[in-house]
Amino acid sequence: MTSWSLAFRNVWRNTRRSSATMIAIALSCAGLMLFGGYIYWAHLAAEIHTVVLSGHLQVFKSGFKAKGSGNPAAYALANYDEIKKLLLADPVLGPKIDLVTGQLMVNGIITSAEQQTSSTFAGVGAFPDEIERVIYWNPYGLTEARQIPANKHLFARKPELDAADPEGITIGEGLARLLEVSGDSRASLELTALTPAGGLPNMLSATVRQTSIRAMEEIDNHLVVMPITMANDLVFPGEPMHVTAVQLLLKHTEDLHTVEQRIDELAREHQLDIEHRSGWDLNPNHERSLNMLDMFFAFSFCIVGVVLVFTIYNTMMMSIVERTREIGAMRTMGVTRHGIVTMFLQESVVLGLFGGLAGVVTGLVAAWCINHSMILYTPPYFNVKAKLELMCLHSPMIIVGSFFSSFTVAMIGAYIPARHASRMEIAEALRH
Amino acid sequence: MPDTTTQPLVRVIAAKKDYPLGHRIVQALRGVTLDIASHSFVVMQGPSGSGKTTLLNLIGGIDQPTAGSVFVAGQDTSKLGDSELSRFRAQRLGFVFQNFNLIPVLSAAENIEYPLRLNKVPAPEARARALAMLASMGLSEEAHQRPAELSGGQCQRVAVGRALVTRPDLVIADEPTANLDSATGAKIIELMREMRDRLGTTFLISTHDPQVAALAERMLMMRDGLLCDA
Repeated sequence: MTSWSLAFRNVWRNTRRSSATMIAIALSCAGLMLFGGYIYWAHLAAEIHTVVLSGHLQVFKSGFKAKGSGNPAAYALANYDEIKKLLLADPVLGPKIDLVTGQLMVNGIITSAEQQTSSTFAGVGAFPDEIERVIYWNPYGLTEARQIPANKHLFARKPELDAADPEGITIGEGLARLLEVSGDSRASLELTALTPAGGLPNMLSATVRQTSIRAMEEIDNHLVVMPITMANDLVFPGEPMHVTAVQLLLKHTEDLHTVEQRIDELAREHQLDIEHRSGWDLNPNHERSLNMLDMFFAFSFCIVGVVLVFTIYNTMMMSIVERTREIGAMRTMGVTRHGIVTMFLQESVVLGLFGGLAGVVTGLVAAWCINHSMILYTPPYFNVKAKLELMCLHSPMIIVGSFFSSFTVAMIGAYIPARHASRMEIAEALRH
Repeated sequence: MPDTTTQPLVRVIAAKKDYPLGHRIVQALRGVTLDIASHSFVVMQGPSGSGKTTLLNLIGGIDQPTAGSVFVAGQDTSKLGDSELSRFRAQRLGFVFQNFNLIPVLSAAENIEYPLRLNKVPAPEARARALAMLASMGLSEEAHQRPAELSGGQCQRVAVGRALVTRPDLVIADEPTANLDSATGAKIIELMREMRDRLGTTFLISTHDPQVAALAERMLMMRDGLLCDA
């Protein structure tokens, strides 16, 4: 007979109460796991959406982020190929980079002569064979918005750009609505933009390949994706290739800081007039939303913790009151105060261990059920449905953290009653 | 510190014990002086509230006197800290209670084994000694039964075995027969006498039971917090 077997037997002497306490621990643990799994998904989803919108990193001509959005052409880089080669050939950066591609931002007016409609647009000139790798970047295998049946009609059914279709452009779903053109109509549109030389506007005709979305309404109402050659012809007619941003996709997001530092070093070594911004700098709302979710999680964690502490406290106090005379008798046999504290903490460990394990199993089963029930919702700022995914299994920290959190909280809840039991006057306890 | 070779096993010197009761102080003991020799079988009688249990608590080191001193086996128990006092109780004292106070989740053998394990006796030896103690009390067949499955007499025999298994110098029994019928109570007292004879343990028993008092080698009478001549 060991102190642990005594603790185990003491826990089960009141089966109903101990079961209720374990269920409380299990539900707390499962709740933390499920919420943790959702937060984890939200972080991954935000990372993916950030990269889809802006890549991991964009390199600009110095001053572009401060002033360039009003006149992107004035801050375009004419040495895209040189920068791309430099980045890919670098022994530090090369192995970490998945893709280097160029983008030429164009702001202007888009007109449908046929419908007699027009709107401002925010255009992106991209390399047709490379843009798909950016917009469908999904290294974590999350359910993509376009895979959800409720969203399928919103997304492009073929590549947004095609090198064999140099006049074909893809426009945002919202913009198409404003211009009253449909995605599969091959409607002819006129794009007008200012050129840097002399400020005279230039105009080009384009054909709508399809409509597409970037999932955020404010973007989709102005989005025009066009081949970079078309964008270059629009802004820099007759000139060599320009880009406003060199976009980088990394193999691993955690390399971002190293890559940024190395680009700074290269810029100094080669006297390049460039600056860079991470996708997270360019899309700060994602980070803010995540911070809010993290705060919700912390707040929920505190509430769960407090409730659990009081549950365990109550269970232990009831047990101690029932066993007061027994505690007195044990003290007469030579059990020290520390021994009494240890005994009740061991019982709490048993409760926490079994409750926590039950919580992990419950959490995993609940997560599986939720993940397979296709629960859809529209996240803030988005205009597409997202699938509720709880990624409890994707990070051991979620399971381990939830288990140990509920376990630790159970220990904290037991400590005060245990200490109270140890401080009882023996004579008083025996008279109970 | 008194010399244990010449001093009695228990020496109580002018012990007083006051309890607060609401706004007033109750004097449970009002200056008790007492010696108990080793290997004796002492019975203490007195009406309820006379201070019997309080005196037993002071001798057993589970309460401290308001004034005066209590020496057990030469040790002034009021000078010991909680851990030392716990160790002292574990090694030198045994207790038998009116309500048995067995640990309900342990079997009879485990209840007897428990104080041995507290004294760091290895598990196999503790189990063997517990079973031997049960056998000496005629409870071998009940070794694996829990207290709820035993009769009151059997429970008290287990409690006596638990008190004796560590070979203490002194066993303190507070009303050990109060919850037993007279025949069973007599058997328990006989068992205690037998154990005293066999193991040389000193017994200090408080009781209202005249049957127990009749078996006393030495009788103490308590009245109003004072020890009277028996």
